[in-house]
Parts: sequence; structure tokens; C-alpha cells
Amino acid sequence: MLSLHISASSGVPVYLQLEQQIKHSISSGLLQPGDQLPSTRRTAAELRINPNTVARAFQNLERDGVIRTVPGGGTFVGEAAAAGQGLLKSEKLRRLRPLANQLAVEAAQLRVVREDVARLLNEAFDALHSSTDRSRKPKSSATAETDS
Amino acid sequence: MSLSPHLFTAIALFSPMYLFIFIRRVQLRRAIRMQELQGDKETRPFTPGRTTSSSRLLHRFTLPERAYLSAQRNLLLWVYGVMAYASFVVLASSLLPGNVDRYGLQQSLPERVWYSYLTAYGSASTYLGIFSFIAAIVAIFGFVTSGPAFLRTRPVSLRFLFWGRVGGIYVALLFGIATGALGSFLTLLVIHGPVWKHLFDAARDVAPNSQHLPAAVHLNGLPGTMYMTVEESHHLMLSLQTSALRLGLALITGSAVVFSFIVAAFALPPRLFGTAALRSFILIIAVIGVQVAAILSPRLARVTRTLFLSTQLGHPPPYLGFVFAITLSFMFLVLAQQAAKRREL
Amino acid sequence: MTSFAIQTRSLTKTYGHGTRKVCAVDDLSLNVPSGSIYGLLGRNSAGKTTTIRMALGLARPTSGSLEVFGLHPFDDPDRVTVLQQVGYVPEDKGLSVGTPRRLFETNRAYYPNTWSDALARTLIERLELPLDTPGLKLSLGNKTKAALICAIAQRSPLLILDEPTIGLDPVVLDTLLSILVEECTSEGRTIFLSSHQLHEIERIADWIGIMDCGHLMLEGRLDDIRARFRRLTVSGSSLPQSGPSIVSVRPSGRGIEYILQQDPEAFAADLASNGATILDSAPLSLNDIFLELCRTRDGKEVEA
Repeated sequence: MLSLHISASSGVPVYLQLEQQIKHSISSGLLQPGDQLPSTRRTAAELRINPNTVARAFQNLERDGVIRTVPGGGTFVGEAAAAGQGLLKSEKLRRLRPLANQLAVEAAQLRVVREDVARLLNEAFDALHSSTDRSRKPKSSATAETDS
Repeated sequence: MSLSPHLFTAIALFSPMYLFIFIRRVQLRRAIRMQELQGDKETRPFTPGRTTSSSRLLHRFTLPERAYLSAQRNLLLWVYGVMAYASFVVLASSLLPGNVDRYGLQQSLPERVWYSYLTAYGSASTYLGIFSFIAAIVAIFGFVTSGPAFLRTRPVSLRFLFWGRVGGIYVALLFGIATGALGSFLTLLVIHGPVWKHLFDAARDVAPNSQHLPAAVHLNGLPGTMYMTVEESHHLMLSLQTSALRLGLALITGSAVVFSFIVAAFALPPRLFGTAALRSFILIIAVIGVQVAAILSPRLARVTRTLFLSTQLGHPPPYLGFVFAITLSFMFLVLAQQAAKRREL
Repeated sequence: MTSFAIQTRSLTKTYGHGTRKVCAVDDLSLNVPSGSIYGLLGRNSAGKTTTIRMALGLARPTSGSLEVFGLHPFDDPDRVTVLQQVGYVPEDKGLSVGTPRRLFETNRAYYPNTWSDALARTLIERLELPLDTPGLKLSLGNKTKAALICAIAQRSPLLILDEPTIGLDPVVLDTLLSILVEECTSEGRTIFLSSHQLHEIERIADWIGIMDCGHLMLEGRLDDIRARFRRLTVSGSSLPQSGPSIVSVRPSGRGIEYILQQDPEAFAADLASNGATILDSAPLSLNDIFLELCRTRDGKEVEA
């Protein structure tokens, strides 16, 4: 159901890595709305990382509406419409801006023109949507993995 | 007797130890061999029984304290057993023909037996002193060495840690000696009967042949005239005067003082009055010195007998001296406990 | 107001006297929050084991204070209260009794309220510990496993582990991390461990403290520390050689490589506004941070 890779020494904070990967799993369709995520403790134990880190990632994701916790227990993937519900478009763009800046810098370094970069972006979106469609087929069970 | 009695005693005393070590080693090797052969066969899973014992005596202690005491139990039994065995062997070996015959064949059998038995307390105090020394080191060892410090990091108070172990060994030590001495006395009774009542049985009315140059001895209140050498009369006097009970108590107190002194010697911090080894050395020198001085000076001999620190034959002193000696050893233990409490590992 | 499982204030410990005085711990002010996993890092003889032994009442501070759950662990009766709540794995992993089975049977009686036989069984199975091998014949790794199970099955509020990874192969090490995270962090329990395995600590710790020569060089949340440290490669003219946020400076290719310990963005922006070019900006792993701090300290001592 979930396939996570955490690198403790990559420089990207672990909670961010978790958030990104869960978001990616949702975007690519590996996780469907309503799917249940393993508990904080379970996830931490399988990944061999601190439970507080997992808790922090889950909290952030819940704040963004990506996942929700049920009072009785259990964490579930939120409805697609709910994701980012509390956020204004300006906020969403503000979040994406650093990634855009980084892409611009890298492209400038490699002397890639703007049009090629735009084409790359389109291809990425296409790939994401096609894999989403493919993944609406039966899910395969996966285990949480780590590498460092 | 082909074998010298001293040698016999020494072998009887120390051979069980070697035998035991040998047996343990064989057992260990066999256990390891069996394990190697069986390999990864199913080991019994970890399912221990109840921890609480139903002994009413121990109910006043907390569970961790009871656990600590049961951890000491084997050691205490060992100390008791070893001391009882050692004191029995040394004292009972005085009944061996080789020892009994050592003090002249002219005296009657009861005299010889009794004298041999009483003097055995002297050598017993040396042997038991050595064992007490070893027991003291075993007792205090865990309190003054660093290492995993398993017991020191369990939730048991330092005072209980000390008294549970050192106090326990102390009591086991003394009771062991008492048991062994009592056992040897009973053996004497069984083999020879109450010899101290028959010391005059061989009163001789006929003058022996002149080679021995006897002197005529008149003892007040006793019938007849006894002929004996000065040496024999000396022996007789000592045999009459000395109380076996007093010797037994002196044996106990001697070991108690040695034990508690060595415990204190090792418990005190290294810089105060020299190292532990130095203090032990001082004790040994002191003991030897006192023995030598007591032989040379009768006055000092009497002092040491009064304090119940000597197993020399002689007039029994007031038994209050026993209390003094035991209190002294107890004070050493209290000193050791205070030092061990503050000791860092 | 966070409560602290372990807290020291200007803790100092010296051994010996006169000219042979050795300062094992020097003015250490450590704060281990309850419910955290705290990694104490340092080279050999940095004073980690001495600090841990003081926390268990095996040694007394020369000056300063050390409190475990607000109590002083050296004097009875507080000492007993502290020890009831602490599971300890010492640096010396020797077994004092015959076999691991005996060790567990002995230990469980000391913690009647919290010891769990079921947990012990689970741990024995997961860590693959041979129960009946005599202690003399156990490998170092197995001795470590026995000591770990002995302490973890106690389910104490505070687990103090001194070098808990000695002799463990990578598979067992991985299992241990999983166990520590899963079993030992529920109900607000605290884990305090000292280790050289920076990689493993980096995964599971949320707080770290770095000690060297008895001093605490750095302490804080691991996330914060990772965010604060940065390796910056800059080219330009008249670049600063020292400053409050600079740990070290060294030449690198066309430019200069800075290791920064705080406000790396502000520093970079400052340089950029003065006309310098930022060639590269990379994060540092915990291992790198540790090495840089120790090197700098060594360098300063060499100069002094």
C-alpha cells in the first residue's frame, strides 16, 4: 500500500521527505482517498525513525487537508477535493515558488532554454496523470522501505 | 601413621576445593559440548515461574530486596558449609592417632586426647583466619570494583546491599565455625567419651623407672601421689584449666575480627591510611606480632586471652571479653558500610 | 514547561589530584526532555560514560548538579526511586550471572511493577539470543543483546544506553532500532543513548548533544541543527575569514568553502549583496557536523 524511502543524511528534513512522498503517492494514485495509513508508531518502527518526526509530518499533512485523523483512531487519506481546501491560491503558489526558483537556477546552469523547461513540465504532468489512471486498477501491497 | 597429621589436615582441607573446581570445569565443558552438538535445536522459551517466595520471614522486605537476598543465598550456604567443614576437619584431626600421640606416651589416653584437642584450636585459628580473609575479600569485592555493576544499579538501598551480603556472610561464617567446632566436640564424645572428666585416671602410685627423673607431685584435695615430669604437670595443669567453650568462642571472635577488619580495609578509600593491600599486610603483621609477644610475655598472653582474641591454653577469663571482641568486629563492619556507601565505582 | 528526564547544571567531575588531575566532565549543562530520544555523541574519553555513571549514582559529581526526574541519584532514598525508573545498559557488557536466562530470571524480580515476560520473549525471538549459552562463551554481540533485553523488558520510563550497538551486526542493529522506536517511546518514555553510530542516531534521535573533552559543544533538536548547519561554497573578493556563524573556512577550487553553524541564509544573502557568487549550498550530515566541530576544537587547542 505504501512504499516509502527515507534518507536520514540527505539534508532534506525527514518529515519533509515523508510529506512529499505521501503526497506523491496520493498524486500518482498509489493511495486513494479513504485509504488508511499505518499508525504513527507503526510507520516509525518500520522506517526506523523517530515517531515524533512521523507525527510532525502527519500533522502537517492534516493541516493541509491531505489526510485526516478519525477520533476513534486511524489516519485516512482525505478526499481529493479536501486537499488544500484551507489554502488560498496565493498560498499554494507561494509554496511552489522555491521549487520553481530551483528549476530556473538548474536550467540556467545547464543552459537549457525556457521552452524546453516548459516542455519538461508538461511531460511530467502527463506522466503523473497517466499513472493515476493506471493505478485505479487493483492495488498491490507494498512494504515501507528505507535507504540511506 | 605414615602420613604426617599436618599434611593430612592440609589435604583434607584444601582438596575438596580443587575437586570442586575440577568438577565444575568438566560440567561446563560438557554443557558447551552438548550445546555445540545440538546447535539450533529448540531452546525452552523464557517462561519463568513465580518470583515471590511464600516465606513469612521475608515479608518485611520489598520485592527487590528479597530478590537480592535470594541472589546471595547460594553464596551464604557455601560460606557456611566451607567454614563448618574447615573447622571440623582441623579440630577433629586432633583426634587422629598421629596427633594424639604427639605429646608423650606416658600420659593417659584421656589426657593426651584432651590436650591434643585443645591445642588444635590454636592451629584452627590460623587456618580459619585465612579462610575468613578470603571470605572478606569475596564479600566486599563487588562494592569496590568497577565493571558492569549490575547489583549496584538495581533499586535496592546501599545499606541493604551491604548488610545483605557482608552481614549475611559474616553470620554464615560465624555459625559455620560454631557448627564445625560443635561437630568436632561431638565426635570427641562419640569416640573417646567425656575425657576431661578422666584426666586423673592414670594417677600412678608406683614410681616409674629412673630414666625419666620424675618429680613427686602432690595435688591438693586429690588422693595419692602422682609422679610426672615438669612438662607433664604443665600439660595437666593447662588441660585442667582450659575451657573448651572459651576456646571455641575465641575461635569465633578471632575469625570475626579478621573478617571485619579486612572488609573495612578494602572498603576504605585508597588514600586514607594506605592502600587495601597495605592495611591487610599490617593486620597480618599485627597478628603474628601479637602471637610472638604472647609467647614471650605471659602478661600480654593473659590480656589477649581476656579479650577473647587468643586460643592459647589457660585460665578462662570472664566471658564478657567475648562481647568486647564481637562488638569490635561489628564496629569494623559499620565503618566499612559507611565507607562503601560513599564509594564510587 | 517541559519536564526533563535528565538535567545537569555546570556538572563537573575530576579524578585524581595534584598534577595527575583528570577532568572527565567539565561544566556540562545537559537537558534531556521527557519523552524524547536523546543521542549523546562524542569521541572516546569525551566524558559520555562518566556522565552516564553519574546519572546512575555510580559516581558523585565534583561540583554542579545532576538530576534524574528531579531527584539526585547518588544518595538514598532518592537513589532507589531513580533506579526503579531506569533501565540501564552499561558500556561493559559482561554477564554477572551464568546464562542470559538466569540474568532475566534474576532481573525480573527487581522490577515487579513494570517487567513484562511477554516483551522479553518477543525480544529474545526478534534479536535471536541464545538463552542457555554460558556467559563466558557468549560473543560480544550476544552479550550486548542480553543486556539490551534485560533493560528494555523492564519497560522503565527512562532507558539509559551506553554504547548499545557494540558487536551487533547490521541486521540486528536494524531490528534494535525498530524495537527502540516501537517499544520504548510509548507512554512518554525517554531514551538516552550514547553511541558512535552517528548514522543510526541520526535516524531515531530527536535531540542530540555533542560532547568533547568533557564539554558540551552543541545541544538541540536534530531538525534544528540540521537546518542551521550548511556548507557554502562562495567565490568573490574580500570574503570574511571569520565570524560568529562560521565554523571553518577553507579554500576550495575557485572559491572558499564555509561551514556555517547558524543563519546560513542570512549569511549567504549578506555575501550575495556584497557581490560574491554563491557557487554551492549543501546541507551537512550529522557525521559531517560532528567531524567539523571536533576538528575545529582540535585546531583551536593546537593554536592555544
